[in-house]
Amino acid sequence: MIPLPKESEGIVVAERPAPIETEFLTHFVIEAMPGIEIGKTPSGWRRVDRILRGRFEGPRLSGEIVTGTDPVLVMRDDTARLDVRMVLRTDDGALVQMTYDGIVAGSREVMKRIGRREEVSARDYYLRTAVAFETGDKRYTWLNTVMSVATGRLLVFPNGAFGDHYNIYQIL
Amino acid sequence: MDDKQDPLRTEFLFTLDMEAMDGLEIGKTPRGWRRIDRIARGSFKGPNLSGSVITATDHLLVLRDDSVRPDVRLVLRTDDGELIQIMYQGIVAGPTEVLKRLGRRESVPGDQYYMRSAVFFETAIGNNCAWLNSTLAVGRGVVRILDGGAFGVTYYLFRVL
Repeated sequence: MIPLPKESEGIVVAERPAPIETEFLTHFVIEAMPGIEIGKTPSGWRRVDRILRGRFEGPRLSGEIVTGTDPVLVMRDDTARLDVRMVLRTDDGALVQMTYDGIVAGSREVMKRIGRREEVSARDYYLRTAVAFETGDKRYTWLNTVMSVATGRLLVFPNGAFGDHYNIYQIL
Repeated sequence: MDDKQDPLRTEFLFTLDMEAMDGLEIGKTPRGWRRIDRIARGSFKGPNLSGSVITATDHLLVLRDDSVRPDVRLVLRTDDGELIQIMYQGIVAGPTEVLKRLGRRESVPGDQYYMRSAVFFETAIGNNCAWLNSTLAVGRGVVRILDGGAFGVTYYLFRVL
């Protein structure tokens, strides 16, 4: 057993911390291929979404999505969990891996409508993701140590394809 | 592309205060330098949610660029007795010199490094705090050296609205 530190050490708690600061990083428009329904598994309902194409534009980060996959899990409380890996190619030719975990939550009725890929107002659900980047390209090294989060909404394209829009914010 | 860029809205959730035991240095592995930190005690306090930390473990990894990746699981008990599992992954980055000083558990002002995390929660369906199951939060962290030399970590958690 490793001895515990002394009991006397008080814990100081700030009641009103300074708010978290963020900066807009980029926004994505993603068009998905039809989902692959793995179906009911011990973990929940599993569907694998693949990205057909996508583009992102921001002050310091713009380009195209090369590839991306999202094994979505719909859980017992009807919320969905995203687990996405993609590869980006910036307009100046850098390859960047982007990964994100996310939550899609709403009332049971709203989640059912989303499951049927109906158009639903983004106010009626909560789609948020935690995003991380990895690259070896010297011009984008700064991305490796950026923690960011995204607010998302689901898109239905005129051709019926399904997709997402994300605003990504860097946590400063 | 549409150009709407509303600022991100967040809301203070709680302050998480933890005191670590001595780290278990697994050492240099193929993935990087691995250290396991366990929490001796801790508490959390916020406008709507307060309680204590039951257990927590951080399997942190120091990467080749000297940045650190915390990978933490903890269990909280709220003041009304509900259990919450928290999972967070984060980044600690800064100048190599600063990161080395943190690694030696020296006191470093919090504005000299970047310590942030993305936080997910799990609690029983039906609990008062079940809304946490569909909440993404972000944390801003600072490392503190407590009286007596113990290592402490404080995170200010904000719910992403």
